[in-house]
Amino acid sequence: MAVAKQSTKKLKWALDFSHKNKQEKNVDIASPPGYNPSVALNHGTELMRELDSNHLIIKKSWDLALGPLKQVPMNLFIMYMAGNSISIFPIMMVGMLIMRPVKALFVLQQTFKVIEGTHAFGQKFVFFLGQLVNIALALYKCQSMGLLPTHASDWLAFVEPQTRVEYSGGGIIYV
Amino acid sequence: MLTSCSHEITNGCAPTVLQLRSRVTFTLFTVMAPFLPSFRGNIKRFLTDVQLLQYLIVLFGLFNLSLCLYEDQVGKFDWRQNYVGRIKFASFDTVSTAKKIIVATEENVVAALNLKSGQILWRRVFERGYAGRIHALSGISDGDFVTVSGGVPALVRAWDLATGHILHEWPIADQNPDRLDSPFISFSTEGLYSIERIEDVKWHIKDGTLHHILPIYNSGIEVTSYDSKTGEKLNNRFISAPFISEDTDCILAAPYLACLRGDSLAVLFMINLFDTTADVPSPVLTTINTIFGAGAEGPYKLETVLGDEPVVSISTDNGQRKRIIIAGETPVPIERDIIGNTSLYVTSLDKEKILLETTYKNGMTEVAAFELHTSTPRPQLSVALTHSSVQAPTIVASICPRQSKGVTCRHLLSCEDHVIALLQHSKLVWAREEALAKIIAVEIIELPMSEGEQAIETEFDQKESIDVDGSWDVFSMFLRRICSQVNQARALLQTALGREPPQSNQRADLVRDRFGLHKMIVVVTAAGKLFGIETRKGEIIWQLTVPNIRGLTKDSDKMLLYVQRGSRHFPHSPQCALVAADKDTNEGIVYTFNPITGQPLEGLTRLGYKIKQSMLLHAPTEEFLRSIVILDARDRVHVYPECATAVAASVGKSTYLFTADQTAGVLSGFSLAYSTPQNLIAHKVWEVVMSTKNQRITQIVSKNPIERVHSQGRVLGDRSVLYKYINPNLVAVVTQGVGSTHKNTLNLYLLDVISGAMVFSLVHKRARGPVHVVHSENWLVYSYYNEKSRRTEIATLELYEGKTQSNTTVFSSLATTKLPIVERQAFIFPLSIESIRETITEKGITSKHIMVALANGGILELPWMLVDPRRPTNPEMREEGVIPYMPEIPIHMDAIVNYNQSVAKVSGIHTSPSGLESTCLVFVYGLDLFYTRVAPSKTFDVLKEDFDYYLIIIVLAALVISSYVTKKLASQKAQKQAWK
Repeated sequence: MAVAKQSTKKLKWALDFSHKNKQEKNVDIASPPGYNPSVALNHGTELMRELDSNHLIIKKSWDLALGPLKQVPMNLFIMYMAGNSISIFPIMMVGMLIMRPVKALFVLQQTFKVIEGTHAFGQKFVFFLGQLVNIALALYKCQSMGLLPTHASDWLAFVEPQTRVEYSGGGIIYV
Repeated sequence: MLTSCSHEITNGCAPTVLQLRSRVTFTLFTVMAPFLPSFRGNIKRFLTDVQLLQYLIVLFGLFNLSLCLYEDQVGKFDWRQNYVGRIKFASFDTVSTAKKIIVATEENVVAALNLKSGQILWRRVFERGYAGRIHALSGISDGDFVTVSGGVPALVRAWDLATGHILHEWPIADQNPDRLDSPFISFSTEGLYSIERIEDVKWHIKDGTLHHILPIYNSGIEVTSYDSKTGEKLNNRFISAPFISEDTDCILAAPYLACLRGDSLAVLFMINLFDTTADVPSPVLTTINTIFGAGAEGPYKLETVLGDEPVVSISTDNGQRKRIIIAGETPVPIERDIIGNTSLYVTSLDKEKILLETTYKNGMTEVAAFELHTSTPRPQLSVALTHSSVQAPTIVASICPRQSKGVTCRHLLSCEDHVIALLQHSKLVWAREEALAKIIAVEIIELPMSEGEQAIETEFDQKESIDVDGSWDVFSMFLRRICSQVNQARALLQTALGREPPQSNQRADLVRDRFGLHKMIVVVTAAGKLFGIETRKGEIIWQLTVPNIRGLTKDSDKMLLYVQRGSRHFPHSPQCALVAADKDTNEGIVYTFNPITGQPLEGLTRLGYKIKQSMLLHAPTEEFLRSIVILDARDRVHVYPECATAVAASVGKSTYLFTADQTAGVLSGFSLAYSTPQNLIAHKVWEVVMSTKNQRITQIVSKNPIERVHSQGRVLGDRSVLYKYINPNLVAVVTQGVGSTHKNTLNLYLLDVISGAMVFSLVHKRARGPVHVVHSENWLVYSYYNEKSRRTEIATLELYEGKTQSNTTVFSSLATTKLPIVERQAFIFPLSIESIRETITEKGITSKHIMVALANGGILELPWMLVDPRRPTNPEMREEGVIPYMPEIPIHMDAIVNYNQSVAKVSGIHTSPSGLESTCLVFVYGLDLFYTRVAPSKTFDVLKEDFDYYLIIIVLAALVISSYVTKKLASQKAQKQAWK
């Protein structure tokens, strides 16, 4: 491997003046050092611009996709600050926490409408995951505040009364 | 979790559907005022503050709970009627300028009635039972009168005539040491005479002297005279009368005591008791033959003739005829036969004595007047009257004053059905339905739909619209539709033009209202008279007299009223059945009637056997009629009506009947499972024998069969659920008696009457009655008297299945094996209790309150939360909606639902659900009737009375209009802008 590399390096930077015959001279003249025809091709202005914006879009869309995940520490901090007592501000905060990701999920298609490319699916998926994490966090918060109907008591109002099988009557005798 | 305290208390509303919501809303209120603490450190302190705040809120919530009344709401939802009861003694007040009638009644009441209107001017209620029984009422003299009441010692009271204030009171409690060896002395009755002989004691009040007359068997008569005002003993006389024995029938025709002895050859003795001239008054003998002549047959019955003269009557030939004897130095028998059922009264006109003979035949009352001694008819004093409310009357008081234009006699009549009526010159001045002072059974029944709604019902009634061949006749349907619409249009036009719709047999206002608050109270009284009272004003709509009936048991007036079919089964009319006993044969009778109109349906059915126990079958027939299952004295089962036997047999497997024998102390359960469609068989499946030696079953309380329980459990502090043990077949059996070591004990058993399983039992030592029990849902509240601490206490029991439900869909008493968890607690109740009952609502969502009738005449609405047995004694262990335990139950005066309308001698409270879930109708009966409605969780389902409809409408309309206007303006502006 090392030998092959060396040879290619040699090939790149070494000038070969060994062949003297004219035919050969005319036929093949080595390019100046540092000149790379393929690179020259790539350095077309239009291509450059396209490449640049593409890159930016990808960068931007990844930013977008990773946004929810970046929010997680902030949310954690808010949750911690809000405390577990049930009063209007924590409720509002928890409401925000749960509403925002849900809303974002609903408008997911519009958010990623501008983004095309090979990474679109992955970005969407990451975004989706991030929002899910946020929802899970909010739900955890609800749970720790006792707002989720997870206990038997929360469903008590829907418990049907037992129907009676036997019927009875009577009392102290009259005779 | 502590923060999410009792939303229910603060708002006093029904348990919310989701716990979640209640938590949120509650905290909104609690924390709005203090601002959110920004540091975690402060939160803890803040939480403790919140706890304090919660206590305050709970306290304020309790004040809020009671439904207070504003002054302008007095009498809007409630009414009260006062009664005095059946007349025992009466006398006309001729002294004062405001003429009145003084009555003493069997309900232990002394009252003054207005002569003109019959209204109660004043009323004094004596002690309950024997302690307040009135024995004598004196005539009126200079602005006061005297009564003798009570047992041992008897109380003599002098009353102010005009105001009814008590002037003097003194007891006759004299213990004569000389008479200690007398056979009539019992030590339990403070040495005067035994309680059995107390009926023999006679009282006579004349000219300010009270005579206490005690016949002593085989020896004589003791007459003790007292000054009726001061109680000073004037003299004590003993009159020898050895003929008096246990089978002599003695009556007082003052100043004579008349005694009848012997059956076939009866002899009438008459002794002048107050004759002081003769040293030893000797009895005057009259044989029965001198009265009736030969040929009269016993048994004879001796009766005093009320009035101004000492006259007695003797009836013979099984009460077919009677004759009167005027007592005197020599008794004068009047040789004129009077029909046996005639009631007699002697009144005086000037100096003349007039005998009034009252007969009742075919709805007509005739008072025939005769001169007493000569039997000359006095046609100008005789009257005849036909009136529906006067049935079989007796004259209890009469005066015939001579006025300028002639003689006008006033007769105070007391009828067989306890009606009091005043008759003046063959005209009925007023009548009072005193039967209502003794109500036995009550049902509150929904009124039927209005005729318009009934027409709609008929139109869509399936049975009628399907033709015989089963095909739908389109044309006739269309015709019916048109007809009913024309009718509706006509009715609408008529009401619009202000013309009354044509009179129908049903009163127009007796229809179901939107909220089901207007109902009919059906009442059974001890007199065997039934009443239908509407609830809005308390007006008596109909009355029915069922002749010749009595209570099912000997010592109580117990009669049963069953609602066989309600008003919801149009076109079938509602039907009620009264189960009672025949007066003569003691055999059972069933009387069916329409509770809305008071029309008898099938009339009186004699069953031909004695009723041991009965129940209403849960399964209706095809005509929605629930039949009555009756167990007779020989343990055979009958069904009324008999055509429902097949229905009863089909549900026999699930039908059980239980009986409790008080004398034997045996409870037995019967199953109808072995019945055939033709014949019902009661098979005894269990038997529980209670110790009868010193315990007696006094009460058996089962749950209200129409009760529904909405919430199946109770939320604990850790948000788990404690499921209620709701056994519909559970009954509470109370036994009272004397224990071996402790004086009085009270036992309570909770018994499953299907399986006979004893679910729970407890003993209260040194506790005695009166015991009042309320049994509802999964709890039991009962009150008793604690002898040790000498106070009334309320104890509560609550039954829970545990944290899991054994069967979530059905409840079978035979399948459950696990005994419930029992929570219990006792509380001090600072007043004495006459009767208690729980409120009931349609769906059972509304929280329960307990209506407590207090001895002071108030009706207290006590939240069940205050007697909750889970009220923690340790304040650390708090639960949602539970107040920490305090031994004494506070009584807030604004929880007295009858404000100043005191009710006397309450014998029962009847509660009934209304159409509104929040509201419960309460009917309190006793000597007085009181009706009101209560909303235990406040009226959460109706808008407030002062709700401003107009404001809302105006605001909404203004908003709509303004939005349209602005829309228009905005579009114009946009247009202008576009042209610029």
